[in-house]
Amino acid sequence: MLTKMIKTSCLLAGVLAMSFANATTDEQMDLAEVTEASTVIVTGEVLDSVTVMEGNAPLTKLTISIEERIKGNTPQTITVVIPGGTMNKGRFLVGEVVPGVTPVLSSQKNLYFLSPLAAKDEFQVVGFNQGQASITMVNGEESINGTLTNGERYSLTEMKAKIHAAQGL
Amino acid sequence: MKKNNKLSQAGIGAAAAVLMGLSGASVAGGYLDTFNFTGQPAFEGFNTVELTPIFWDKRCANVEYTLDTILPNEGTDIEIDLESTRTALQSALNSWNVITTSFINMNITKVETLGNGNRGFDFINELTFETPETFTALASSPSTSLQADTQFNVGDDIDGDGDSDVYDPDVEGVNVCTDIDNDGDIEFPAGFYLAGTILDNDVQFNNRTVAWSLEASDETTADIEAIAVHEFGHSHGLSHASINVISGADGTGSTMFPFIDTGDAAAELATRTLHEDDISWSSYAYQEGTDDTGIAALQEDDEAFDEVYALLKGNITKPDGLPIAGASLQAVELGRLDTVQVEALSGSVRFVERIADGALFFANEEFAVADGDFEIPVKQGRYRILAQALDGSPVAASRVSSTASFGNRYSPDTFPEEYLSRGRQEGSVEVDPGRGRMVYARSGNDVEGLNVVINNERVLSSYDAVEFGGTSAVFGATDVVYATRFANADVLDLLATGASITSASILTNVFDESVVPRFKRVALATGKVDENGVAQINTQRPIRQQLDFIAQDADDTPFFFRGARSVGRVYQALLRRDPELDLFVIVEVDDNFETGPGGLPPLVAVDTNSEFGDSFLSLNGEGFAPINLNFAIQLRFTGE
Repeated sequence: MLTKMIKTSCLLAGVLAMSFANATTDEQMDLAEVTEASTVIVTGEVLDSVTVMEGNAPLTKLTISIEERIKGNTPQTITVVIPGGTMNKGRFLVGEVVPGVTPVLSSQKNLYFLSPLAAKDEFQVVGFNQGQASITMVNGEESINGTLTNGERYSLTEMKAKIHAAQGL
Repeated sequence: MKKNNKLSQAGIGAAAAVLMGLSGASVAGGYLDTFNFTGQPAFEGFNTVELTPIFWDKRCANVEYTLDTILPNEGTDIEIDLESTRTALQSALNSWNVITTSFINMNITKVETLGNGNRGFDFINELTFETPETFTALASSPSTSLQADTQFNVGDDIDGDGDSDVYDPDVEGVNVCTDIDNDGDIEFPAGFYLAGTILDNDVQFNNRTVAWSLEASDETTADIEAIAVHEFGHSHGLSHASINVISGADGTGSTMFPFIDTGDAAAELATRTLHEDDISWSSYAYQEGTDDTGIAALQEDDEAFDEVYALLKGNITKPDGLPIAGASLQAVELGRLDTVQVEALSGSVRFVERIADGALFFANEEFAVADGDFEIPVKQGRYRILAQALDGSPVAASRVSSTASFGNRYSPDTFPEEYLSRGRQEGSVEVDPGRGRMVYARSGNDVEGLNVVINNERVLSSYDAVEFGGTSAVFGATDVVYATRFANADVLDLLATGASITSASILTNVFDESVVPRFKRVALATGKVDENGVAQINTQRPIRQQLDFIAQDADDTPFFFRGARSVGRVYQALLRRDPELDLFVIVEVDDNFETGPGGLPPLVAVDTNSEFGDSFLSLNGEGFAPINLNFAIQLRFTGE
């Protein structure tokens, strides 16, 4: 999967500060952009995953138990749909790998930036998987790192503060 | 000194061991991977599940594609005709086909109106400009592969469409994947296939929100051929790579770098052209000359993989000795300009599967991360080995492969960039992590024992979290110098623990992807902040400096201090004598910077939201005035 990098600019305090993508969804996105593009931002744990077929292509539906709603309202349990997944074809076990989208296992806890799909309480990850970050425990504290943190490790508390700042809250 | 300087330490304590390793490991390399449920017993009621690379079996490595007749930009005034589209896509396939050390061969053999809705697992390798409404990338190359070792028998209907997908090679007299019955889909010859074998690959191009072009340009249209060359790398089974600056003379990256600047013609043209990293991994996966007959046998213009390449082999571990899966190891060729040639990913990861219901579970770290091994295929030359984390700058592990993504779960700390050092100098406390040992690779000969231990590191950071990709001076300014202060007391506190100061790191960016992020100078210097809040920095007599500093794009660029131990000793005494004296890292912009279409100089990333007070900016040769931003600059130390 290849995504697009477009660079926009804004003037800030006498110094030009540049963000490296704009707000549409098929480009490399930073935290401000995935925040803006999301209807819902939540943390949650994967309870279950099942593969369904859309035509001949598999989709994985993750049942997420919401731990915290950072933006938007959702029910306690939502479905997040990601491309690819494992298909049982009789005695043949096959899986579809989608570059840039890695599988998710039950019990995994993630931060999700989501946009709604047509079906009720179903969402997809913003920016073709750019809006998903794994939450891991480091020194007893929940934390996140990745492209949205520019490679730094933030505590989940710090990350939420950054999201709120991006929302202008 | 502001309070938000943070102290962090790389290295994680070992998790309690519950399970012991059971099965062999595979090298992650530069491959996409999938679960292998073939399964070996882990313990009662549970099997081991590994990740395995995806690949085309030799019987199927002459890959036949069908081009769907949906046109790029269909129905618009910039619609591209079918023949031009086919020519561009075949040219992209040929970029891979011409590799002399790789036997895979991919061709468009049919053009059809498939009319099958969105692509999927149907044994038709489809190239299409049709995507679902929810598709948001430029393009994608999903592959369906086996997730267990499997015997294919004559008559098997694998995709469940009511039609046999397997033929008898003895009856047909051939033993390759092809449309043997001319019914429009590919049939496989009966036989045994390993987990990871690709059965079907489709490449889909976003025709809903992307304007396609047959030419690379500075406009924001997307060059079909550039995007296609990248996607066909995935069609091989290759993963994303994190190489986005090749050398001080070439600001472009590997074709398999996951992002493209479609507003930069030079970047698009570079994506069309395979870099050594792309060529090496295609060759490693499909090694020419490994059979006496068939597709892997040497034919005219072919070269045997093992006569051209050497393998650089080693492993990477944390300071506590536990292996790291998903680290990036780059072979940097030494020459007039250091050139990043090939990147490998370390390690292998495994899970446990409950046999009763097939549920997958994470294991504890000592079982899950089976090893931190790597192999880097390189051509003959002199190299240094650079280790770094896939930490999101410039690419996150989750965008590379499952091994990298899950490995990152177990080795979650970011770790500092460092070179493999010589002998006993390689360890968890290296005062000179920038001095790499030279590794000589001779074609056909492997080099083993290249074992990296990541440095135990402490960081003084002047910023909290980067909000903007970078700064540039206001238009018209010259002699722009960024400076960040590291307070006397904070530096002394760290030195007092016995830590050695090793380097600075600067989070740098470049606006146009093809441009080399080059600065006039970086330096470590002493200075003071006067009563007006202006920094008086001793720029003329720096402690350490580097001229013509080649930085990285969207990544922390290390500025290693030579003789780091003496830097700490000498300046510890100076800082003690004068509590007003601080350390500063300065970054000078070259007024004659190379530009791309954006016309902007290389950038230093900024944090705009935290507490300010340690960043200063000098313009037009004037003093270092305080600025309400934090430049993303850190001072790094190592110690027990």
